[in-house]
Amino acid sequence: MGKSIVITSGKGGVGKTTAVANIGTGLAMRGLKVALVDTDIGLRNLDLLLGLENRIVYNIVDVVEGKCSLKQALVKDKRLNNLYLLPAAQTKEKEAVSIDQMKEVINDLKIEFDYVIIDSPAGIEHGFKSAISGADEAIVITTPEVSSVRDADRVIGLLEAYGLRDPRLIVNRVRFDMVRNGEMLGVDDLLDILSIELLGIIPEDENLIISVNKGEPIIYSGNKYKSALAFNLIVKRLLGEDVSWDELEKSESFIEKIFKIFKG
Amino acid sequence: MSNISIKGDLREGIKMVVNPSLSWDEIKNLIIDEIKNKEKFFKGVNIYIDFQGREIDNTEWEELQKQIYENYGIMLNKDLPKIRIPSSNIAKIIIGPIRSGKLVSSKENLLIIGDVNSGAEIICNKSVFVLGKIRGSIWAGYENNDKAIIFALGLEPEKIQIGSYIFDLPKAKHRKAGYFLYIEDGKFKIDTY
Repeated sequence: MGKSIVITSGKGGVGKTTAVANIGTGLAMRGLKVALVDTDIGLRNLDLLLGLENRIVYNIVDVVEGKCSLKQALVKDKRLNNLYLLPAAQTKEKEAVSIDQMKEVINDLKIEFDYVIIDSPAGIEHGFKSAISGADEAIVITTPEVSSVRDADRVIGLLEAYGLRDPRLIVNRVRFDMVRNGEMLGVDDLLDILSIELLGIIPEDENLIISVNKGEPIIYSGNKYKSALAFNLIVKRLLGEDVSWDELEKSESFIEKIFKIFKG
Repeated sequence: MSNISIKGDLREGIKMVVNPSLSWDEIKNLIIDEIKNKEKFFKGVNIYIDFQGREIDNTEWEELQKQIYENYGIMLNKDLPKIRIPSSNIAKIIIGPIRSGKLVSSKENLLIIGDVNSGAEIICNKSVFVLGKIRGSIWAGYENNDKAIIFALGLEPEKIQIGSYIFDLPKAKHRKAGYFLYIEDGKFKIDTY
């Protein structure tokens, strides 16, 4: 029996889907059998990030309506044999899958897979409730902006109310230089406000935007880019290894130095 | 229950409770005996007699007062002080943090252990004490109780209201630990430590 983890945020555009694609790929690269579930029905994106948009035949609504089996709807990744995607429907609405149906689908997937990573939609309505219904654990992702932090705080409260205790935090789009100058909330400030455990920090990285547009998770590039290194550290941490975030800040200042040499 | 008993639930002094169904002479003798027997114990202490609603004749009472005072130097009182040591909790205790989107309302005083985060709302008929930082909004003294107070260790609120007064926080950043907010002469006051 595997473990199901939901990645959620409340606010849109903070990097839920990117995190799901990269963490899922990272776990699969370590040989684990992973299923990614897109619950953002009507606004599906996860297929694009994985470059699987033209391989989808069936989706989660078809599974729930009994038009196909769960196995038929799962899309195998291009590169990894042990990574699968259960896509959302683009032409339906969130209410097409009820909370109980979602729970059942996730439970069925947990039998086959080591990890089931659930991509939650933005908001705190039906879509959010059904996304978290089948999850054993939750990861909350936020950026260091006040609006995003307040929404994350709300979501943590809701997760606790729905029985998902001790969610962990990923802070996305951190700019260490701005934090040092006091122009951006630091990770310590966020942990002070949200008072939950830190799972990872992802620095702002334009290579990440390129990888999203290419449909190829950046974690494939190993530790070449700082965001890829960050995702690798998160995957390690998720598997129970001890991780130091200093490595990340060091790598950034190293890359900055190289940039300066080229520019200088 | 005995006809006379001594209780210590007053903030100052000692309470003597007598059986109200006895006659005045019986009560008088009981009190005199009690004080005679424990003269040393009662020395210099305020004694309040609780007649439990029994009607007392004023001249008889003054006679007894005088008699006790002359013999033992102890002054008796019969009007019980209104302030008492509360026997139950006087505040509702909530363990925080109070997160965004959460509404806490209470008719009792509130003691919040933890932060009140941005987007959270507290509405309380009495006073609010926050052992943490206020980042959200707090309304103490809901329903026009201007005597309510707010205490917080840290203050970066969205809105603070006491009774009918909305607090206009100066924009300067406070760097102290411990804030005490109240209303005096129709104006908001803030004390820091």
